[in-house]
Amino acid sequence: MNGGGPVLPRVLYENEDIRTVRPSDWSPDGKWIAVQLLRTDRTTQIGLVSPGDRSLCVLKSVDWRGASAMFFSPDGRYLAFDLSPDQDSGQRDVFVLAIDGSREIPTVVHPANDLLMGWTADGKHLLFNSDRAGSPGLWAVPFPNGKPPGPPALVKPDIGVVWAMSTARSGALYFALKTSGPDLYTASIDFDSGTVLTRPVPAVHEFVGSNSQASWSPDGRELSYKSVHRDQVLAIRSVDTGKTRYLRPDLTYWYAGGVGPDGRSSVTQGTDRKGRQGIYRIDLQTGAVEAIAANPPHISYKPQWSPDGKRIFYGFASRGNPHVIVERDIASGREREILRRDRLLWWSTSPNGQYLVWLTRDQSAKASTLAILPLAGGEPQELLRLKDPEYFRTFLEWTPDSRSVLYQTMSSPAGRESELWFVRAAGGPPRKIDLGFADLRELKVHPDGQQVVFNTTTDTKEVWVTENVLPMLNAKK
Amino acid sequence: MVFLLVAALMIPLGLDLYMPVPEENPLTVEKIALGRRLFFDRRLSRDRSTACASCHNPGRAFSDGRAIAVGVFGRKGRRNAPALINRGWGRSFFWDGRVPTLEEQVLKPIEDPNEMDLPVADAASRVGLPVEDLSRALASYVRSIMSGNSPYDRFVNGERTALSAEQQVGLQIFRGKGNCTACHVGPNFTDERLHNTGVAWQVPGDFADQGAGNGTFKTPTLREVARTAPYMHDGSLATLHDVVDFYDRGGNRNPFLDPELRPIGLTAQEKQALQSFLRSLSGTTLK
Repeated sequence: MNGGGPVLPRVLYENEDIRTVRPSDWSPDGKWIAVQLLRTDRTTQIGLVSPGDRSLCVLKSVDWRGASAMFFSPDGRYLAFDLSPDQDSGQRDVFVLAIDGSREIPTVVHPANDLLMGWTADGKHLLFNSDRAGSPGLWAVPFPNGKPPGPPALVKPDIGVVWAMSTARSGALYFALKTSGPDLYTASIDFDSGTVLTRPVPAVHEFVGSNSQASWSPDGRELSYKSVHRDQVLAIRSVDTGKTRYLRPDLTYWYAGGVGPDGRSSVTQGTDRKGRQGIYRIDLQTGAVEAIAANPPHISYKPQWSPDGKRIFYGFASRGNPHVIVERDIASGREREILRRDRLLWWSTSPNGQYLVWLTRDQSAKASTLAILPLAGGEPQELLRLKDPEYFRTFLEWTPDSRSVLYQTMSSPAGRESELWFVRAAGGPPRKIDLGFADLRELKVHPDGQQVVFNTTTDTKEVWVTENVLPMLNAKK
Repeated sequence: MVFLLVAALMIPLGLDLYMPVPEENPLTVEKIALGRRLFFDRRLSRDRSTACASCHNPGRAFSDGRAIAVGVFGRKGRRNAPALINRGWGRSFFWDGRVPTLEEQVLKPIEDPNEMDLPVADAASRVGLPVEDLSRALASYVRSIMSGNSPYDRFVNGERTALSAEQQVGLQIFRGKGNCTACHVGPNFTDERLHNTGVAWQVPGDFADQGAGNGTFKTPTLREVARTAPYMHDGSLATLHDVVDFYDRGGNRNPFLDPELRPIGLTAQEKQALQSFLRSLSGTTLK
């Protein structure tokens, strides 16, 4: 990257036993890259990779969640990071490790959530984001010569929801600031004509900017969705009374999946406290979690119920292999493969359990297709084909009568703006639906066949810089 | 084999470079050497018959091959002598995890009536050291007992032929169907937490040993496990085959059984593969 033309990338480190390598920071002398390795046994390792000889030095093994940020000290002797003190805690503390492995210094240990932001340019302070004063603020803790730290000081209150990026040599602190989040809307649509009957209106007025992944209950009287503010909750809102109750499933990560036919549980992809990714069932009265297909040797996703609630469909993918969709009997655990495809983009089973539709990409033809398969047996048929530069978004949804499939198109593969369409499963011309939102996601149709709920994806971040951190710190003294 | 230098220790492949060492007891070559001599010194027991090494035999990966440890005057202890492997990375010590530091831990067997039965002040006096130095030297030596660079370590660091085909199947079972990594996780194959597996549960319905409470015991490392039979805190399982059978049936049911334990349904072939994998955890033991 010296302005001398394109530079071919080279692999510095790869290992089949490592799921992901997350580089975090360069050492000031350029000899090391601080990385986090997520091993297949769900251990995360903090280490150093040498760009010179491509060697790896594992400094410390931690739980699977790893650090949210890691930064070298300006003199390159230390590496700072934040970790949860144990697997049952969602809070983090800040630690500093000598890169020769000789010592570790717990630098910020406090019941609050403390996230590393960086070092000051002189290396005498560590900067961190903490909610200890009630809202997220930028704090600094002295770190003189690697000795035990002094008391922290508030540098800048109310900095918002931020993520560390880097600290410039000038001392300017760069970070990403969340400026907006998703919100839920409802509308109603005539799926015979594609006419919008009622324009979208906000569906939820609590925790605005935090709500997504909505589903209707089978009787249509409840709306469940995920709300992420201070923590993540599964919200269940009564359509009749507007009252909302909140559940906290005991999972580290989860996706608010579809409500089952009996209305008592939902099925979700998620990750438990030990980092085991899989398919889980959440009791919608208690929030209790039960593993249905946990810790498979592959990443499983997008579980959907069968009409009788006794089976689920879900997909899984592993590196270098085709995507597979299976049907799993919940009671026995027996699985049946129903589709295997390369470049499978998305899929959905019909509410009556009779059809599977999916999106695939044909790179050689520079086209994408929407196909349908009768699950009782039969040949797949292509419903639609889009030629570049028109693309499908990874979305498919059925109307409750299983007659129509909704899909979205985009004019660029990574674009945000899309159009909403539907097509009959039996074939015929597609129809466009104009809800007035260029970027809507996760649309679900109410059991009445007209109302829909969806979320906008105005989950945006901006890059901000705080300059003159040191003068601010000195002014506090 | 790849070694990394940290302070006075060479860290074998597969282990973290950073080993938590108290600031007040930095590792030195001299202290490790002194600790090693003390570890084999029978003067630390009342009748001068028993050294630390009597129950933590280097030839058996620092275990003793007995179900229950035997101390001075042939007195029987309460539990199986645990293998002292990679304890430098430990966060709690003894089967019930009751002691938080190695400096504290190493003195306990000296004064335990069923082990060495000597007041630590007397023991320190016999070897001409202050108690503090005795503790620090022994702890330093225990920190130097490491096992790594096993076929498993070489395999997960890129040497894809280091494990046999059967061992690779065993590794998949270990991480998947067997759910072993629910507790035996990380470089030392232990979460350092307490779990009830039901080993201590006895008909008619009580624990023979409460452990840390409700029959919970700390997850032991699986490093060198093929060399540390018999197994469990009471040495009640003689072979790896027995251990795999025990977990395959979901441990012993009791009111406090860890929820991670449930019948697994391994086939005979899968059990064999799992045992084969466990044998791959024996490597280079540094001492």
